[in-house]
Order: sequence, then structure tokens, then C-alpha cells
Amino acid sequence: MNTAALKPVWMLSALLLVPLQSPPAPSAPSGIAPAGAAQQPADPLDARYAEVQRDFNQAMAQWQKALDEARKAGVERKDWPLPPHPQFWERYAELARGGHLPASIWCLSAGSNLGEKRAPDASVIDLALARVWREALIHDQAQLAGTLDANSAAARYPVKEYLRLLRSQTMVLGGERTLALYEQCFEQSVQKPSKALALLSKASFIGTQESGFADPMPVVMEIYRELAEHYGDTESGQRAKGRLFRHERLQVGMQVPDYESEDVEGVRFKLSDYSGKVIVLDFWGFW
Amino acid sequence: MIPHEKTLVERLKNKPFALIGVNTDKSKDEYRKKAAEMGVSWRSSWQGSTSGPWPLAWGVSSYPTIYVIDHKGVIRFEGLRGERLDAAVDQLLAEMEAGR
Repeated sequence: MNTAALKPVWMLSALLLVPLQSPPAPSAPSGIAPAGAAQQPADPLDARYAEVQRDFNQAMAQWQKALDEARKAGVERKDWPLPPHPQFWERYAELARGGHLPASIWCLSAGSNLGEKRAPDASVIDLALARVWREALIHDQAQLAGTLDANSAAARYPVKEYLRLLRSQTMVLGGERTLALYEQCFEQSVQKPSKALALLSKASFIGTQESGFADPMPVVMEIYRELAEHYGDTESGQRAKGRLFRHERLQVGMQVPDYESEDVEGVRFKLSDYSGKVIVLDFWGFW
Repeated sequence: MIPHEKTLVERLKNKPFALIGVNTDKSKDEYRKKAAEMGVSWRSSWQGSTSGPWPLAWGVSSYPTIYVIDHKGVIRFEGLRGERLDAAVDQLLAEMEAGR
């Protein structure tokens, strides 16, 4: 088990440190709420979530200890103890079915820790994504209006984060459902960069085998054209433009386009400065 | 990658050949330090990130992305590494010498 497998747990621990708050309901008549109480009461499932979380953290600590011992004893990797996530799936899933946000995140983040089966119940994943989508939509609308509360739950779930979680669940959801969710994200989000990112993410997904498209490239290019034309002022639009350019101008057999740039010493140079030579052009980094 | 490219550049230093890097490291100082340590002698464009203007404009999304371009400016290979990259460069140099 690599350390990446532990990530969701630390993320959840971090979430627990933040008091759980629901976003203020704008439609609630102001007379009902007690003066000064801007936040809704905490989720009634919080107490049960805390219990599950306590048991889970304990199980994680035990597993970590067993894992360390196995490593020290030189046990082969294939015989290392497995993480406790599968035994906890049902308890978290029940809370996620009830719309509990951190439990929904747990279900979406458990990933490969659930073993070969991954998420055993696609309907829970669907519900959990819908729960996060609610926050992402609030985030998007509030950000556009300039009223995003940095302490709200929604503040942690921009559309970008929702799309990341959606991308991690495509195997469980299947191609058709995944596409429907990308489209929902595109149609319902309100900020231009969010819509553009939804389109770009959809195109990337269509380009994968999972999408089930027999001939995805024309569809992908159509989306890139749409992005380049109508969303050119967003980062996603710029990316789409680049991918289109690569497809149309940078194939083997084509004349290489010129490009001017600056080297590490600050000296400007053009690719065409090297014409007449054989060139290896290498996009790279040490990182 | 780097040691291999270094060998390629040294082997072909008297040939009509150029290796051009498009570097996407964030810190210029870190880059300079590592480049000096590893003996990167060839010209590198400075992009500052994988979302820098050149990789963005050319739709580069995986690293390394390597194009091999012949003396007439035609893209001949993409994605070759190691010995296959060396062989491709040798082939193009031979074509050039043969006047094709």
C-alpha cells in the first residue's frame, strides 16, 4: 500500500477540524431565525458521522501499525494487510444516502482503498456526487455574485473540485451517466470559466475508452472548436485552442510552425533560427 | 532523459543538429542549479510552468513531449525516446547528407 492510499483519510481528518456549517438559506423568512444566527443548525447526521469517523480513524491507526510491522518483518507486498475501507463502506454510504456532505466525500475519495470492487454501489456514488454538486453550484453562484462565504461548506467545493471528483468515478458511473453529469455541470454552472472547464473535462472524457465512443476524435474536436470560439478568454478555452492547434498543425508530416520565445538567459530566439538543421524539440522539466 | 540527451548532443556536436528544450520548471534558479549539475548545455526556452505560453499554444499535455524535425522543417517523429530517438536523428542527418 502506498502513501497515496492514505490521502483521503488525512483530508477527512482535516475536514473534521472545521466546524460543519450548512450554507445560509436565502429563502428562509428572516423573522424565524434567532437574531444573529446566520447559519442553519448542523446536520442531524453529524453525531452519527462523528461516531463512524472515530471508529474509522481507530481502524486506520491499527492498520497503519500492522502495515509498519509487516514492512519491518519483510513481509511481501502482496501479503500486506489491506486498508479497512471496505468494512466501513456501508456505514458511510448510509450517511451519504441521507445527504451528509463529509460522508459523501468519504465515499467519493475511498477509491482504490475499497479494493478491486471499488465503490460497491453506484447509486451511492451518484447521490454523493449530487450532494457535492449542490455545494459547487452554490459556490459558483456566490462567487459570481461576490458573496462567497469563505467559512461555508460550499467554499471548499468549487466546480473544479466537483469535476475532479466526477472524473474519479467514471468507472463506477459508466459512460452514459458520466456524460449526463458533465452536461448538467455545463448547463447549470453560471460562471463562464466553470462552463468552459465542464466542456473541456467532457471532451477529455469522451477521448477515453471509458466513454464508449467508437470514433471520439471528431466529437472531441467539435467541443474544442466550440471552446476556442466562445470561451477563448478562459484558461480552458486557451487549452482547447492549443489542443486544436496540435491536432491541425503539429502532426507528423506537417511543416512545423515557427515559434518565438525567450531562453533561460533572457535571450529571444525563434525555432526558425535553426532551420536547415535537424531539430529535437523537447518539452520537459526537472520539477 | 538528461544523461541520454547529453550523450546525443556531445556525439553530434559537429553535425547540423540542435536540441532545443522547452523547460517548464517553476523556479529559474532551481532549474539553473540542476541544469549545471547535470550538464545541460543546450538552449532551453523558459516557460515557468507546464501552463506556460508555448506548451499552452501547442497543446502539450504530457511530458516529455518530443518532436523530431528534419532540415526542411517537416515534423518527422513524435514521442520517440532513448535509442529510437538517436536512430531517428541519425536517419534524418543521413537523409540530409544524401541531399534528399
